[in-house]
Amino acid sequence: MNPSNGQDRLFNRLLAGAFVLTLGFGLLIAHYYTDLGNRPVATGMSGAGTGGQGPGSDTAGQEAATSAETPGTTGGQATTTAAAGAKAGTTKTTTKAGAAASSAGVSRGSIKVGGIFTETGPFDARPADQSVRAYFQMINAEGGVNGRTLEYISYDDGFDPTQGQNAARRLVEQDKVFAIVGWLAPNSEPAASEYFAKIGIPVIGGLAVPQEFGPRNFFATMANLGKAGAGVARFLCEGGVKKPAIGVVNLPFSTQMIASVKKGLAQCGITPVTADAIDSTEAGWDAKILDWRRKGADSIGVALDPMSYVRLFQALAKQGWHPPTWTVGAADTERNAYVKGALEGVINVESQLVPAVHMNLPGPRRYVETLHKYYPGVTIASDAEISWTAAQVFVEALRRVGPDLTREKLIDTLETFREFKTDVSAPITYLPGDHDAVRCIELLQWKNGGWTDVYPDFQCWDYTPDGGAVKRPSKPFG
Amino acid sequence: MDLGFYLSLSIVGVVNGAMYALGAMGIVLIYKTTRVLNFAFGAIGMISTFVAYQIANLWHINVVVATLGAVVSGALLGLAIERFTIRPLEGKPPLVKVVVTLGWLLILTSLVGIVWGASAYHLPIKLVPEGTVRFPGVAIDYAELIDLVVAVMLTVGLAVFFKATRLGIAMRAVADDVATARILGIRVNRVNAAAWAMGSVLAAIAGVLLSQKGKVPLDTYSLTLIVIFSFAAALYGGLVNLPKAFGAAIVLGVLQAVTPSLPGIKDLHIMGLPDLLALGVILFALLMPRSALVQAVAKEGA
Repeated sequence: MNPSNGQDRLFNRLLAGAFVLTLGFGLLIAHYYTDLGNRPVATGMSGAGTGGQGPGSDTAGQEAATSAETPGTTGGQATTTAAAGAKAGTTKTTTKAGAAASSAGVSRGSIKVGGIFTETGPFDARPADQSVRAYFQMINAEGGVNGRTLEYISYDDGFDPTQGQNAARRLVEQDKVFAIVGWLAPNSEPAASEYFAKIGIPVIGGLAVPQEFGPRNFFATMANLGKAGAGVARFLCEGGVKKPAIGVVNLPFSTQMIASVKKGLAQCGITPVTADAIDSTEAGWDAKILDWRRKGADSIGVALDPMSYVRLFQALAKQGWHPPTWTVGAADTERNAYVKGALEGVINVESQLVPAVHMNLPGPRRYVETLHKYYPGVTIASDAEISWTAAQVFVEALRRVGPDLTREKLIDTLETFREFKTDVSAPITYLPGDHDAVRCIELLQWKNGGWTDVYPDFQCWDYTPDGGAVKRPSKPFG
Repeated sequence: MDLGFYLSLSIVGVVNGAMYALGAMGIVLIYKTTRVLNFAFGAIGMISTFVAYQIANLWHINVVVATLGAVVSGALLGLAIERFTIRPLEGKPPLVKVVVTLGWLLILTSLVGIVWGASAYHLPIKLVPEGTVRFPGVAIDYAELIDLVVAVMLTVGLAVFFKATRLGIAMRAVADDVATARILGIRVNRVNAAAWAMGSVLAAIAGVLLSQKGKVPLDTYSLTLIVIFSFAAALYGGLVNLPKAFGAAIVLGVLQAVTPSLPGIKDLHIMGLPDLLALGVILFALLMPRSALVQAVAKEGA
């Protein structure tokens, strides 16, 4: 036999086998994902769906608490506690299964909490992950909450909706966390929200994507991104823009963001010259700016990722165009240092207090000091503060519930929050049927090498029935 | 039709195309000699750029030293890839070697992710001084002009290299017929190693230049994937013709800059249009019977 022919045959067989295996696994995965939506949810969850066995109901008790970190999360370990052995549920019957799911993750000595963050790709949400961890470590150092310490498990979604859904299922079904606290995964939150809504697990935090404002178990700590554009647009109107060019980072909910901005601008008779979703990897900012100028834009309003802001401002400086520019979430001092010459006059909108401007206030100071205590050198980023606020809200809710802790009680308690003061956000109010808690922003302007407040307090708004917005009384910082 | 506007966009497109041409030169260099399509080209450039990032931005050492570090690391990596993973496959089908380069792509991107983090939050090194040159309706950075100049110099320089230097002629001889080249006394292994080293040096230079000012984000995938546009250009040149590859790169850059603003297309808001245009160039190269790629393949099969 010619060895070459024999080798070729072997190669062909291996290739065919690999193809069949891939096809088979692919079909299995497709079947699994489509079946996921039809799985019954746990009983006993308020507003969470119909009865049936919960997904984690066939597993008894609590194992020794451990934490799992994905590669790429740096700078610290989740708090590890030893479970005291209290069992969360032991049988497979329907009612006991519901009870097991309702207090999953809760043992006599600890509460297991989960989070999902984009730490690979165009966003780097590790500071957000570390913010939650730092807060929990601070609380644990003070003795925990109602005699229980907090244990945190987080995963990286890799900016991939599929990975985000996998992480969501893993947290609920494998790690059996009690709640999701602090969630910053822009590309996977919409998809994973559907799963969390079906399960009924409390979710505190998140990027406030539109999908997080329907189900009762979601409690965002910033304004609904699908509607907040109308509120922000009020301030663009007051800023005197006439023909803005609008750009929003391309995410699953970008269309809704753009629509809300247009609605808000329409209230003051303004139509943007252009309104686009822009990829975070967009390299052609020169062409985009030329296009905006050609269309007669007299101002720019953008909500982008941090590195896109760097490229935008570099392109603006290069082309010698300095129109009034409004940004959302651009107060990233580390990256601003790279383009500071081009930032003069830029007005920036933030949902949380910028620590660099407010270190005189106890809340931002505590945030920075605690974060740097546990994670020295970590970047201070405004999107990370959202997660700090989420952790703070969660801990307060735990305190109010008391030792007899279930998911339903946590959700009920969160809906009693009225003007709850946090370290870095405007006061939070969750109403039954309305968890859009924080319709307030901080407005800053870059002047002489740094950010300064345009107003001395949070600027707030309410929504009108047609999706627009009207201003309401402001709220003090701190 | 606002011709001035489209002229400005065309100028932007030319400098963007120069980015692709930088990559295309390195791809052609390696393929022309070794007949290996190096899918890890972008990844080699990426990791070399991160070496420069480590030296300049994290260790705060002179940026010229950092660039030299990138070049040296690129060369060493190219030599290692050739010596330990390509040379042992001599005589095996080309597809096997291509798969090996894909494996290197995965290894290198994972390695960078582990060492430096896989997010896009790495500020680039500042090799080129700040400043712009104004053209009608548009300004171009010094960095972008340097990209264009370097791409032109490489195209001309490599063409001369292959035609007029001993090593270049040896590389062509090895590419044409390895057995005969050996008989003639050409040290084939050394020639291949030199090709990989030179190609990887070009990858490192391309990576450092392209990441200037964050134009191509310094992360694990942007520099790795921008090579797709370079591949499109190189394919148009049949993977062997440097001037055609350069021309195709420039044309692709102009198309990507101008097309989204054309009447009828601009209102469609087509996401991923630059990628579609690159695919179009690849398809054109593959399907047009008189394209350089088809002719090169026919010549090899004869």
